Amino acid sequence: MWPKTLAAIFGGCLVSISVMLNLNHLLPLDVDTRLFLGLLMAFPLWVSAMIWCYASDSGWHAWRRCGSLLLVSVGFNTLFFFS
Amino acid sequence: MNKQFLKRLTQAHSWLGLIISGLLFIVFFMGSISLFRSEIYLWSVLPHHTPAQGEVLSPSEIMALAIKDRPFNAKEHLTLVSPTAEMPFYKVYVDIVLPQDATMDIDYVSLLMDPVSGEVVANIDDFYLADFIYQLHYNLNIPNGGYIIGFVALFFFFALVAGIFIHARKLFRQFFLYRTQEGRRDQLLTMHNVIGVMTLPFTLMYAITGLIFNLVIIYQIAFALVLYKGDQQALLKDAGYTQQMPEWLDKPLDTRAEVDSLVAQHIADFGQSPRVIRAYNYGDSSALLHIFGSEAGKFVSPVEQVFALDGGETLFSRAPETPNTMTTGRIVLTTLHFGDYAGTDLKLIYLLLGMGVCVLIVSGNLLWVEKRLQQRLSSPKSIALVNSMTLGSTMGVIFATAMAFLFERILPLGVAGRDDLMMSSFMASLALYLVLAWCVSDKRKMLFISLIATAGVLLSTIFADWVLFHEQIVTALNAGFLAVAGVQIGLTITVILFVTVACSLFSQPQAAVNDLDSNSRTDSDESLALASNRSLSDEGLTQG
Repeated sequence: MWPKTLAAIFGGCLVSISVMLNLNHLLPLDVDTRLFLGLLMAFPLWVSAMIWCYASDSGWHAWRRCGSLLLVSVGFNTLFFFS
Repeated sequence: MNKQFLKRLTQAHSWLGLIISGLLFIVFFMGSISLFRSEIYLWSVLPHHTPAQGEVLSPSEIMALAIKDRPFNAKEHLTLVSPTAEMPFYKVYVDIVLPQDATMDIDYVSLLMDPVSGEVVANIDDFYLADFIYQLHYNLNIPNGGYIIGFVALFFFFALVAGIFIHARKLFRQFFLYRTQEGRRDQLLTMHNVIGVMTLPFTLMYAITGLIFNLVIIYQIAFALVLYKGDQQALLKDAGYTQQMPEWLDKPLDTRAEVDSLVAQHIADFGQSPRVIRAYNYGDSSALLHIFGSEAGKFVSPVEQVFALDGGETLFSRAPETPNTMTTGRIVLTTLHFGDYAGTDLKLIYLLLGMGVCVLIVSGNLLWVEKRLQQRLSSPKSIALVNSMTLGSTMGVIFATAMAFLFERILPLGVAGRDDLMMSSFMASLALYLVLAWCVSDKRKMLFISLIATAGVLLSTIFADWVLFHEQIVTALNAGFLAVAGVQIGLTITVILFVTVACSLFSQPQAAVNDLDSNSRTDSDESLALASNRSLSDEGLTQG
């Protein structure tokens, strides 16, 4: 359970941060509204990633799942960061 | 739903739930009590000082009295928290210049002041019980405890969502189903499910708001680094935080009349006194007045204004017609979390729901033990450890809280380190109880004695109230302050409840009672329980 927990905490956190950063770029709203939406959605996103991690076969499987999602999301982060 | 998916979620749900159960119990138990922290604070204060009746002093007069004869550091802040119906005293925080040989780094004094006489009643922390309980709720009163509680909230949120998946198919079908004639494990499972479902909106709200309060720093850092290229101030500005740093001009200026005039204008504009008034560089021509308040009669309608005291120029104003979504949203979340938007009856509902979650936590731990006993998956030692931990971290916390109430009442005002003594009584009681919970094998008997002992401590507290302060309590009641009587009623109800539960422990047959003692369970008992629980055990695994 510990390997899955590590993936759930750290992987889930990174995924939620990355996805929220992308949403912050994409949502056509005022900056204060985007920040508040980010605040509200970040933790449910983290917990969703945790559910996905704990439902994995193993810790390695959980990391692979988080990693693949993170890779895609970080790609968009990079795109937005330099655009 | 996939059977394997549910099985893994059930394992994670019970495993994480067990790990966080002790701290989560503290969070919900202390949080539930903290709903009434104003009342508890007044219960502490009023027997020592009943607020004077008459015309209230102006904010500038309170400020003058607060800094009089104190090494006030005018280059820093002077903060007033206005009296309200719930808290009829000014709370004043005066930043001071520390002497060169100071051994502490606390550079402010916090004063409780009578709004009519201007008398300094005490230091705010002299009556520390209410704040102590509140801090246990959100940071355990330890350094970085807020982050620990944040992660507890994260796992709690996960346990809730996992619980929804596990119980999804029966969420509505068995909403009102409560099995009383089933085996012990099914009864526990039913209790766990029913409380879990009924408190779900409340617990989800608490999990999310608790996470936002304690772990938002993670996203704040990420957003500041990536979106704002490291400019944290720009992020805070967009998020609605204003920071004032006026430059000291070293030109003395008497601005008392301006302070009162600006506060009067705020009352005229928004219908009620500002919640907080903070002066910067007070006494200098560069002085600013920062006012936080809200519009009267609205659910959430924050007002924040900054004025230059030399001339009254408005430097910043955020009124309800120009809201910042982040500020408003944050206050909505805070209001929902504290349940302070609809009077005492709503707080009582919050209290019941909070205590319901405490039962949810205990029933979860007992379910874990029952399951391990039936499946013979764990060693007797680990089961004994969980039993001891469950008893120690629940009943122990309750007993220690009762001791803290007693010490808060019997310790004379003026005793050096009064707050430390009260906290020590809590810590010592809890530590002793944890040791006893580990050593005593007959947990049922210990639970009985604990309930009676806690009831005894609470009765002693009420008794001490009337023996030591009967005149002051009557005076406060006559003046219309009901907090002392309210807390006493709460304590009395708790005493009755505990004695009733203690008596019921002996009125039930031995086998049906939670004896919490794995060593006392026989093989035949386990076989019987296994047979009777087969229909409902592993409920999560039967769905899919």
